[in-house]
Amino acid sequence: MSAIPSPGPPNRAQEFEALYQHHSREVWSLAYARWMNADTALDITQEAFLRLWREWEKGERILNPRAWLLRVARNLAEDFAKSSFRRNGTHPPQTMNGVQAHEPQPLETLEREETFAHLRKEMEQLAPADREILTLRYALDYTTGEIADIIGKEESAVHMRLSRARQRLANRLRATDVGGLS
Amino acid sequence: MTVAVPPHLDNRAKPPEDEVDHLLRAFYQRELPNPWPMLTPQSSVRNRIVPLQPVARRFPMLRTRLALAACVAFLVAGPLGLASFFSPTSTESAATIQLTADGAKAEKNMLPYQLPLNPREPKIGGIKIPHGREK
Repeated sequence: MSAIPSPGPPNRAQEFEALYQHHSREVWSLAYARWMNADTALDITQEAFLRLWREWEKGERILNPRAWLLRVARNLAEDFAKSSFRRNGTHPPQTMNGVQAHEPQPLETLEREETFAHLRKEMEQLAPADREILTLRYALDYTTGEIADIIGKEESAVHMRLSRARQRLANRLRATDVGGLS
Repeated sequence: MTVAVPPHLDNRAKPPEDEVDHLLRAFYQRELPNPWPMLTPQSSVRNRIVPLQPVARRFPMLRTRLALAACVAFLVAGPLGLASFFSPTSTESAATIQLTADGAKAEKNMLPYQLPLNPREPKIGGIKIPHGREK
């Protein structure tokens, strides 16, 4: 199987846009699973795609752009962790809390925000690999086969890990009575 | 012939969802950027805000190494320079006069690196020696 050459200038933008539409959410999911922060995940996603663009401009040939993007996103997420550690010690600046209230909200909305905050806190306790599978499953509605293809594992292993992670999360949420689960 | 796929591996069949599944879906739907942002490479390359990796320098430790070399040079050349400044071959260091009552003893008691006084030159007069006697 020959390497797929970088698209020429007339097709480059179209090819890039197509790749972005198809795979940007997957890349975002992996970055989000690492940092549990939507803005950080978006930055990492855009950086990964921009690097792909630069590789094409240099004339580099990338056999599997999707796999390349996912690998770069994982590396960028780890680099982000290291740089944040250097700047701020053990706690990155954007830690695990996306609740921002600027005006009085209805009680139902406040309760839901509190539930999500508890859920986020419990998900932080899970292993990053479990968070990846949960994010791909519940954010993008991917099947276990599709998830296995992304993370490079056997489908049966993904199914087992998904079931265990979900059950572990459910037990913790029920123990703290989060979301009315009992 | 059709092959029966175990239900837990059948991608088409999804297990019934419970409250945890609904909660997780709602959570992620809230986290997903909506609308999903577009990305145009030309404008994004110019307006990138977060450089996640620093630019690699060609000689990353050049300044440090130059400073270290300067310190070593100072440490090596400093003592040599001071030693040459205070060398015994200079005239000022040789003109040491022993003020004693006996000029001969003065010459005898002179340190080895000191040049002896010229006997033809008058001894230094007008110099009071101990006990007030002038020479």
